[in-house]
Amino acid sequence: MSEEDTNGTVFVYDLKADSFERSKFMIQCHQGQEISVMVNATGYAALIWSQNMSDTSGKSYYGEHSLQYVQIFGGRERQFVPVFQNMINDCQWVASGE
Amino acid sequence: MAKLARFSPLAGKQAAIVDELGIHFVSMESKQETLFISQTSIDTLQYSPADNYVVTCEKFNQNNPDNTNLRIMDASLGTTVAQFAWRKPAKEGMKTLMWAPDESICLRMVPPEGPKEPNHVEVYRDCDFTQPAAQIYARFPRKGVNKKDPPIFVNGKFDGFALCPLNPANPETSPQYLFAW
Repeated sequence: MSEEDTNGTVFVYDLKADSFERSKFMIQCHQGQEISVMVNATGYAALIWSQNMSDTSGKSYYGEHSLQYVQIFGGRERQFVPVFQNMINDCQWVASGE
Repeated sequence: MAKLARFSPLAGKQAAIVDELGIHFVSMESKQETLFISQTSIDTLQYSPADNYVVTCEKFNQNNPDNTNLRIMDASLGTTVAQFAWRKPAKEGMKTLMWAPDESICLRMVPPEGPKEPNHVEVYRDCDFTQPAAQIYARFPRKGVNKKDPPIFVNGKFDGFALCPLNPANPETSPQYLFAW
């Protein structure tokens, strides 16, 4: 996470690329003080769980949470789907990744 | 007295048992100790995903700044293939290394060299630990003041990373994505 940012950003690099000066794409996390990335077993999609420890909105003592589903392969058709906005204790993929 | 023990995770044919003296490698097939590495004060040990390496970390010795306390060792030969200095708690040191399941890639999150310096990720390929094949610095582009200005790069910090499996539909042409945040 960039130290200049208050919101978190996940930078995605392609390790097969020739240069790593810039990431291939980025994923913005609106509640991004703490970020966990969980890629499924097939590498097809990732769950990105982000949270703020201190909530400034007054909505929750436990901070704000966000869970995004990101379809990794698909180029410009790549999908970012916010799947959950309430408090999250834990999340996991099934072992098959389906 | 054993301090910790781990099975090799893929085939389970070896166990590494750490005591005050070092690491005892035991074959699960022969039930015999096959190798002993004398290395005192090991706090944590972890196998690589395909069983070929163990990563160990011991408490950093403040009196010896050159102390390389985070080591990658060949699990069959016991030789140290890479070693780094890690000044924070040993368990956190283990989280700075990440492997592809087939060990074709090993990633290491390297601490910043100074207070305002970026940290970076070292990429080791095909178990060649002599030098990193690539380095990815936490330097991020920001738009210039005017639209036509080239972007400027600012130093940041990666807090974590994750390696994405290759696209199973077409692994040869699939990108190999690294998530860093």
